[in-house]
Amino acid sequence: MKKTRMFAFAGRVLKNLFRKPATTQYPFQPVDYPDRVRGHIRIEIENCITCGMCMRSCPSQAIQVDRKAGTWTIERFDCVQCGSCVIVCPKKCLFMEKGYTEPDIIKKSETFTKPQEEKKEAAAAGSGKPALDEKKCVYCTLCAKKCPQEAIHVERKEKVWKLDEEKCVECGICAEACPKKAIELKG
Amino acid sequence: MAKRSIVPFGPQHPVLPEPVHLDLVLEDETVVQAVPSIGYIHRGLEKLVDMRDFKQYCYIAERICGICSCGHGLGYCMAVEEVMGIEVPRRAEYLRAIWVEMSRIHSHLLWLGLLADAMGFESLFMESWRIREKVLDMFDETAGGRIIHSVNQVGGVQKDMDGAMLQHLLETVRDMERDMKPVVDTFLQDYSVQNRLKGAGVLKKEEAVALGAVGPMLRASGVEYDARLLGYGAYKDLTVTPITSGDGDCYGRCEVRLRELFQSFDLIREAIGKIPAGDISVPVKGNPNGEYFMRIEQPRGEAIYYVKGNGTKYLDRFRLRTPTTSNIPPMVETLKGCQFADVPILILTIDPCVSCAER
Amino acid sequence: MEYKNEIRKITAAEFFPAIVHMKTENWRLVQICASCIEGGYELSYSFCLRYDMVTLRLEVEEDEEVASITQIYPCAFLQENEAQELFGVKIRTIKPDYKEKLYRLDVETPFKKKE
Repeated sequence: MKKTRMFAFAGRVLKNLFRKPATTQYPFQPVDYPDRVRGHIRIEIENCITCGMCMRSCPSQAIQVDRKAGTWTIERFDCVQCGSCVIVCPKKCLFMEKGYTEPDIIKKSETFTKPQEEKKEAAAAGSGKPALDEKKCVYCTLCAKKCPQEAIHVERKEKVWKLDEEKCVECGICAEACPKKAIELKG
Repeated sequence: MAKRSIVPFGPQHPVLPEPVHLDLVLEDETVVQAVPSIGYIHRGLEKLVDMRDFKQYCYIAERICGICSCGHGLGYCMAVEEVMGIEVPRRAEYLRAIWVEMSRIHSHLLWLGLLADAMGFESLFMESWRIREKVLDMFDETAGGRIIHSVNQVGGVQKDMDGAMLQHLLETVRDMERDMKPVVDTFLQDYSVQNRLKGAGVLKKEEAVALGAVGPMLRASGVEYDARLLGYGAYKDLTVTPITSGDGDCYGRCEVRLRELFQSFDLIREAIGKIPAGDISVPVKGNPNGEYFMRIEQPRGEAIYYVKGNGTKYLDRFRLRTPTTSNIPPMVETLKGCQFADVPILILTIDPCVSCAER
Repeated sequence: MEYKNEIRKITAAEFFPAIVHMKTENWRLVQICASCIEGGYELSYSFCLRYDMVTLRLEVEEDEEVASITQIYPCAFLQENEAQELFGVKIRTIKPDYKEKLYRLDVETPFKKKE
């Protein structure tokens, strides 16, 4: 049987009277967020290839990507800050930043447009669907493993390399991953 | 026979943190019958598996409830991993265990605060929540969110904790343990607290089993059952002893949760001591095909996750049986024969979470 | 440590005796799950004894009536009402029967698969 006491908490209460507050005086005192805080999504639109993987992975459907117009739109108030888009982005051009969305009286969305000149340059530098140079390929399956969309199918024994054109988002990860440089992006 | 009257109680009530409605049949001041009704916050999240693929659904599972968020994500991921036959790296399992134990601390401290609040002991409530703030800050630092952690994913965890972070966690645990001392003494020894809790809402051992109570509610009635002993994840290597109390009253439930807090402190220390180096996730290819019932121990008790996949990226069925769903029938039973003034405390001691229960 | 976690298929005739058998052996009812299959429903009743878990699986046709187990396991009422309301499984004599008003929904049987 535990013993019974009167005023068991009185000491603590008296101490609390003379202690400084446990809370910070927000908003007069700014808050120092730790590095990992999931506040809002930032995009580096120059590196975006409008593949739409973030849009498809978003559980709250807050992101819209328009391939033709080259725009990336986020509904800030629909976003639940899960960080799913940051993880799937093949170009790693999405970032989770500190600082929360400011409250507002209407739902707002933010649109980012891809710079036009960049696009032409990128086209010149090689973008588009990957094409295989069969002489160089050793069928190591590395491209299939790295492909974020699982668009490449490689059979080692039968020496088959197949691309699912509908799934491919032209991110170029396969070309970078290829140890023999057998993959080239062609428009 | 005294005159009977029916008092509607909830869903909005000053002492009730959860939207549960009860029709209390009273004879004078004694409750003779209680009819529970829920359904104010049904969101149909189980149906959402038809529209979100199984990897996305992890984020939704996490958002079923704020307090056991980490556990729901974990339970869902483990069920899917079990169906797909994925072996998760050991380090990821340890990290998951650390996060889940942290959320147990967070949930129990929240509950202790609410209990103190239901008794009208405001300063004890504030003190419990002040200590809880430390673990929330730790979540902020390690996972990036105070309540929703988004750390679990199918195949492992998203974020790693480095040495400095683990060290900081150890220090926080030590500080919290020190701060908890006067709070524990007050809950267990204070005259007025004992007056409110002792002998209220006794649930006998046989009743607890027959009515399907889970978690601290079951253990407070003297049944040694803790789903962590199933040895899932890192719990294979960690020492877990079910904490029981023989009384089965509100005091017993409070004591079980207080002692579980200290058990969680110890488990975190043990897990940090044993954590292996290595990867934190494995890549997931393919889609789940098959079904599995996964049991894990949430702060509020045993939760069951059922996943049925059909080989496509959309699951056929996801079902979550939360601890609260199981604990409502025993709660109704304990309400019979209690005093009207004790009703809020009785409802609170099952640690209800209606948003979990309704999903 | 590996504990039992199995699914046993039972027929409608075996159903009630099986539940009574579980009760006499002191199994704890842990969950009831309904899910849609071709032409009907699949009801899973899970029981735990210590750390072992057994799930009884009953397949019913769409219009087939199922007896409620609340006489044997009174704590089943919430989950049976839920299955009735969300899936439209016809469960007879649940005590207490919420008459599809457990979740106060506007839509009838929202979880049922629509063709």
